[in-house]
Amino acid sequence: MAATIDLVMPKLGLTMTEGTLVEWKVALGAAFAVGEILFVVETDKIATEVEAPAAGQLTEMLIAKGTTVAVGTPVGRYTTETAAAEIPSPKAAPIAAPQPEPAAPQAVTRRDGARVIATPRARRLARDQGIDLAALTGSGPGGRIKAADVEAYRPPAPAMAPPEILAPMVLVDAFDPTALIALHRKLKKPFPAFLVLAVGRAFASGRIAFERGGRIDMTVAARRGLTAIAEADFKTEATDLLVIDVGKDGPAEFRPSVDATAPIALAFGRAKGERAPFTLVADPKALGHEAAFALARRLRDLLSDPLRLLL
Amino acid sequence: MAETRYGRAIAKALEDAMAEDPAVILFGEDVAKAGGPFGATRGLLERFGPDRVRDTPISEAAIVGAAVGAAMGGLKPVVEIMFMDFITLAMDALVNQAAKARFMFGAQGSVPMVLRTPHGGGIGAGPQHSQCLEAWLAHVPGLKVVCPATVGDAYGLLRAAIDDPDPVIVIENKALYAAKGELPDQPEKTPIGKARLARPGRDATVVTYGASVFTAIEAATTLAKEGIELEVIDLRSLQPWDEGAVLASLKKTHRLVVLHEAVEAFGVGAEVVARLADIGFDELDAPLLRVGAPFMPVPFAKSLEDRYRPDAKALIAAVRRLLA
Repeated sequence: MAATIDLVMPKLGLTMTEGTLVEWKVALGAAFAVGEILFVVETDKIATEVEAPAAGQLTEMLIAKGTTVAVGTPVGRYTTETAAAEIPSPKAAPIAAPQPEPAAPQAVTRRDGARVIATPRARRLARDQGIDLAALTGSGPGGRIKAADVEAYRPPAPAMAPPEILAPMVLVDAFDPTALIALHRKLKKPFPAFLVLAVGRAFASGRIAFERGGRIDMTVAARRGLTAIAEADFKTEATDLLVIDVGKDGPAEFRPSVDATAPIALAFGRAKGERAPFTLVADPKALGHEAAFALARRLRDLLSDPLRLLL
Repeated sequence: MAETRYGRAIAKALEDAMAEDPAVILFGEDVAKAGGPFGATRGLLERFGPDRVRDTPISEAAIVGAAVGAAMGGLKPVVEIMFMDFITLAMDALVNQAAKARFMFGAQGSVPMVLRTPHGGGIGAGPQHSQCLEAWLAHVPGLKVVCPATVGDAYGLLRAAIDDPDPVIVIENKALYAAKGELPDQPEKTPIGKARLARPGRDATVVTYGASVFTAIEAATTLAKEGIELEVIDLRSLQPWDEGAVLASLKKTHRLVVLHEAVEAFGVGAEVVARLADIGFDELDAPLLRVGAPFMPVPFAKSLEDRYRPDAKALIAAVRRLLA
C-alpha cells in the first residue's frame, strides 16, 4: 500500500536552523529511484544535494525554489511503496563550497560569432578586472580593443528593480450601510455610484480607478463625485488609488495587493447586516498612517450617513 | 669636458688603451701613415711606432686572420676593415676561428681581438660601401657586437671592447665620424650589453642604435610638439643586447618600434621584436613594428639613397600606427 510521506528541510549541521531550497531536481509527478537527488539545499556557502530516501513519486512541491524555511519544515511530499520502517532518515550529500572559477579564457567571440580583436595588454587588463571583452567597442584600427578602451569601460549599472514593498500597511474598517441602502433604493441609482461619490470626496486628490468584475470600470479624478461617473473613461494607466468593489457575491473581506503603479488600494467587501467592511492597503511611502486613518474615518462617516455627501 | 668629434673619440680610446697596455696593437688598411680612412687613427703611428701601428695590404682575410692569431698568441689586436661590406672576405677568420676558439679549446684560451668597421650610407658610396651587416655577426655565437651612437660611447665601447677577453666587433657609422659631442677629460668605459635611455618618453618606445638614434630623436622632437612623447632606447650593444631595458620601457609605453638603417628583413629589429613578443606579450597595446631599409641593395644615386634610408618621417608614420 502506497504511503504519502513528507520531505522536510534537513538539518545538515549542528548550527543549521534554516535552509534555502535552491533547486528541485525532480519534476512534480515524476517517479524517482532511491538515492536519486530530489532537491538542493543551500546554507551559507554550502550547497547540499538531498537524496531520495526511498523510491517513489513526487506528488507535491510545498515551497518554490529560492524559498528559505526552517529545519524540519515540509518542502514536498511523495508517495512510496516502501514500508515506512525501511525508509532511512533522509541522507544529504554535501557539495563542496563553490570554488572560484579558474580564470576562464577570455571570450574569443562576440555574440554574433565575430572574433574579438584586442591587444594583449587590453586582454590582460580585462582579465584582471573581470571585464568581458565582447562587451567592449574597440577604438583601434579595425575595431581593435586597446588598453585605453578597457580602462574607459564602465560596466552598465545593474537594472534597478522596483523597490519592493516589504509590508504594505493594511487598515480594516467598516461602515453601517443601512442608510445608504435606503437612499440607493429611494433614488434607484446604482449602489456603486454612491461608493464612487464617497471615495471621490474622501480621497484628497489624484486619479482614482474603479475595478469591478476584475477589470477597470472607470477612472475619475478625486473630489469630482457624481459628475465623474458621466465623464468616466476606461484608461488603465497608473493610478493613485485603486478601488475594488467585490460585489454582492464577493468575499466578506478582500485585501488587494499594491504595486508601484497603484500604491494604494481600497476594497469594499460583501456587506452583512449593519456591517459593510472595507480594506485599505497602501505602500507606507504613498500613504502615511495618519492620512490612512483620516481617509478611513471620512469614508466611514460619508457612507454611514450619506446625507453628508451633500456637503 | 671638451667638445670632441666621434672620430677623435675613437682615436683617443685607442691611444689610451695603447698607453695603458703594451699588448694592444693596431693594423689595417691606411691606419698608420694615413691616420685611417676617416682619420680615426691619426697620430697613433707617431706616438706608438710602426711595431704597434701597421698598414696592411688590401686583404681583409689576411688582416683578420692575423688578428685572430695575434690574439691567440697573447696580444690584443685592434684591426680595421675600411668598409663593413668587405667583412665578407674576413668571415672565415671571424666566424670559424675567432668566434669558436674559446669553445673548441675548452675555455683554455680566448681571442681578445677587436674589429672596428664602419657601416651605413648617406655619403653616396654605393651598394658595396654602404651596407649595414651587423645582423650577420650578431647571429654568430662567440662574437660580441657593439654599435656606438654618441661620442662618449665611441670612446667607452671601444675601451670596453679592447678590455674584453673575447672577439668584439665595433661598428661605427660613416655619417657619425664628424659628429660632435662632449667627451669628459677622463671618459668612462661603457659596459657591453647595457642600453642607454637616449630620451625618456611615455607613449611609445623606439629601440635603435648607431646613427639611427639621432633619427629617432629628431622624430621624437617633432612628435613632442603634438604632445606625443617617444622614449628612445639606444641599444649600444647588439650582441648581447639589453632586453631588460627594452622590456622595462615597453612596460611603461606598451608600444614599441625598432628603427635601424639595415634592411628591415631578418635584421636586429626582427630579433628584438620576436623576443619582446615573447617576454613582453601581455604588455603590448599595439603591434610590434620595425622600420628599416627596404629589401634591396643600397642605391648609389643621392636621390634614391635619400629615399632608401629610413628617416624621421618613416619613423613618425610607424609611431602613428602604434598609436592608432
